[in-house]
Amino acid sequence: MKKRRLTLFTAGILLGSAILSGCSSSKSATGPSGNSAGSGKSEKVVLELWWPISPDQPSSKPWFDAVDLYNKEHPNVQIHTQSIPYDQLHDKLIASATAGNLPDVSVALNEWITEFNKMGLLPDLTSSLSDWPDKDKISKAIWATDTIDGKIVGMPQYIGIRALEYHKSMLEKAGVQSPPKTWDELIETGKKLKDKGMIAFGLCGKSVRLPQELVVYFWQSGTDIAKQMPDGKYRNTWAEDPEELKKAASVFQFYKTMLDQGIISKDEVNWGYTEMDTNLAQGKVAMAVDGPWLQRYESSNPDTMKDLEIAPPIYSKQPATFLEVNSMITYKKSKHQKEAIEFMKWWGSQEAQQVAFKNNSVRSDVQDPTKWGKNFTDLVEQGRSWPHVSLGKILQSMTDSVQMVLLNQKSPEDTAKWLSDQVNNSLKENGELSTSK
Amino acid sequence: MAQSDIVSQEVKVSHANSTGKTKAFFRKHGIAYVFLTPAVIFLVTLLLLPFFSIFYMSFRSVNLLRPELQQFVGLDNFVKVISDPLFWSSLWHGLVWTFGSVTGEYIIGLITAILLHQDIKGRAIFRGIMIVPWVVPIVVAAMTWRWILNPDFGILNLMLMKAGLLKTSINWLGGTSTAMLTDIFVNIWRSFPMYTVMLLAALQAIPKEIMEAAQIDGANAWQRFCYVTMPNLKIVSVILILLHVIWTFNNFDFIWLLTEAGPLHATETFATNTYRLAFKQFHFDQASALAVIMILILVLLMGIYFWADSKKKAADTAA
Repeated sequence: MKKRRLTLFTAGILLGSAILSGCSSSKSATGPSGNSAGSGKSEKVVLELWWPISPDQPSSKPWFDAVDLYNKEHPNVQIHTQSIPYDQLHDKLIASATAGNLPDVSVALNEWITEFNKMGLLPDLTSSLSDWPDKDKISKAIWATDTIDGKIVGMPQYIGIRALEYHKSMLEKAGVQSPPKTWDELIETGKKLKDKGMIAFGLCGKSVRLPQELVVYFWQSGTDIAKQMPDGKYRNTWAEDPEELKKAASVFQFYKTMLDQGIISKDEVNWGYTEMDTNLAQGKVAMAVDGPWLQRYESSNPDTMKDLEIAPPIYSKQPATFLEVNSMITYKKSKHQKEAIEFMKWWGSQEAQQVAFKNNSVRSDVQDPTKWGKNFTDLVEQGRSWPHVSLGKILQSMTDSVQMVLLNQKSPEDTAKWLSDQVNNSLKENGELSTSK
Repeated sequence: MAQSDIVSQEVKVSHANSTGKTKAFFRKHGIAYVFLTPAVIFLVTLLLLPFFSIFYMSFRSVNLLRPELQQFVGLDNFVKVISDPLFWSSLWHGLVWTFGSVTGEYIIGLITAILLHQDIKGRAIFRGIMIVPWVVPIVVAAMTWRWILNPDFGILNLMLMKAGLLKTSINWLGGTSTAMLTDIFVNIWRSFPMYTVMLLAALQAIPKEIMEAAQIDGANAWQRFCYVTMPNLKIVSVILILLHVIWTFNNFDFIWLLTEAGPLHATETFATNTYRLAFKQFHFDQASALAVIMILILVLLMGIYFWADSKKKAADTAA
């Protein structure tokens, strides 16, 4: 009997311990949001950083070097990184936000910033950054992407500006000496390349990059997917303004012309950014509007990348390019917000940027003189980013609209009207639709 | 002794007996309950709570972008979800995806199981090779097939063109008319080995004497297959098909990895639409309503099956 009771007692203790250890937070180790390692007076603050940087990639080394440098220089703070690919990172941050266990700091795409801000997750960093001496080293255009309603909510860390990347030798084979500057010139150049059996132009028919390409064409045509109105809210005006509709339809007409004239391959509707980058790097497509990250392909494609040159992006009425600003953000519920902000400031410092972002720094005093640096950063002034609205459904509708034109042969004007409705529906659902004239 | 006293005493004895029995039961099985508790806790925490929270959220307004609007909204979410033009196309795609996959998997699984049941040389090697697609992680399988089917670099188009079957390459995953069929094909490729293994085990369990008796009675190969083999595979087949209907209807990862539910929603199912509503548009309320509808459809399908089965059994018994 005693033995039986002893067994039950032991089992109970084991069960209790298991439950307690399962339910307890991992604060003493590396759990999210507000950890401390060690004990006693020299207590170290552990900042949990979620980022899409994989330690397996050689190109990630500078990022980890910068973190190591910070850890070395700040003995009382320890940065603990967790590598999560972009798509999963977004979903994990959303899930963690609902569960209340966000990290102290994370990387964020510009598309996410407005959403996270609307969810009430981001603190106002304006006063914390007001006395930061390096603030002016980052251009106003870049700060604008992390500023919502006059409040700074993120620290820009690197930029991904788009430019026209072209294979000079392929253009020369078709008798073209200089890259096209406008849409019309692209069509003309494209016909010559097509006659020589080459795919002239690469674009994304899906993936996150498609809406980024599409929105730039709208800006170049003098319109936008959502305009800020006098009441501070947004609205798409294509359906109510024939001039605006004409501008939007011209963009879809551009896609249609490229397909009809054979400037783009019909398979491009299935290209994500990996396919587009790979095809451009391997010289299977002559030109594409792409980013400086293509440099990573040089080591694996030294022969086909040799003749790749960089020029400003093609445009129709006014020059514009996509200014992708990648940011570091902290969260309202971080228990170590002060340390997180200090880390973010350091991350934006010249010292850190020179280690981690030599080619694509947000700072004006960290510049790469090669074509992969200067040729892109020179375009900052014509760079634009998304309007500060929730983009989830809008991005999907933008993807659908291009596929409607390329796959279903829907008319450019009908497609523009359809997209206009979708954008305004999304704005309405999220309380962002303006009713002012 | 009065009648009431006797009754009262009997009740007490009965109560004492039952208390004693309960004590004895727990003395004997108490340890089992203790060891079961962690599993029950995890089951409740990780399955039942989220399950009930989905039902709860489906009747509330839960838009993460408008946290101030959280309130009870009755059936509004269900109305919104059903009135979305994507609802009916997603339902149709989901049914095509599920029944196309399960039918193909069952037919190929059955054929391969019968082939591997034959006494052929190298049978063990073939059985080993057959299981490979099933043990490959889904993400690896999907990425590999994306490259195989790629219209620019893919080996499938190249082979078909070299064989003279195609003049130009086909964008298998990028065409609205081919994407779903291609998704189903790849899903069949990955899942049929499980059918093969299960059906092969069931085939091996059929007593040889029955087959021999049927043969002596003059049954040809087709008759033996129809009247001996298939009835003996019924229980395994029903379990396999039921499980796979549920798994395939709920499947998200394969479609998402292959076509991201595109192009133009040509491969959009309830599972991918639920994900999109929750994690891309932050409408957890509508996503929950759609998830509840998915559960109801599966319960309905299972209900119809069991109702038909019980009717058939009753008819057989009566006959």
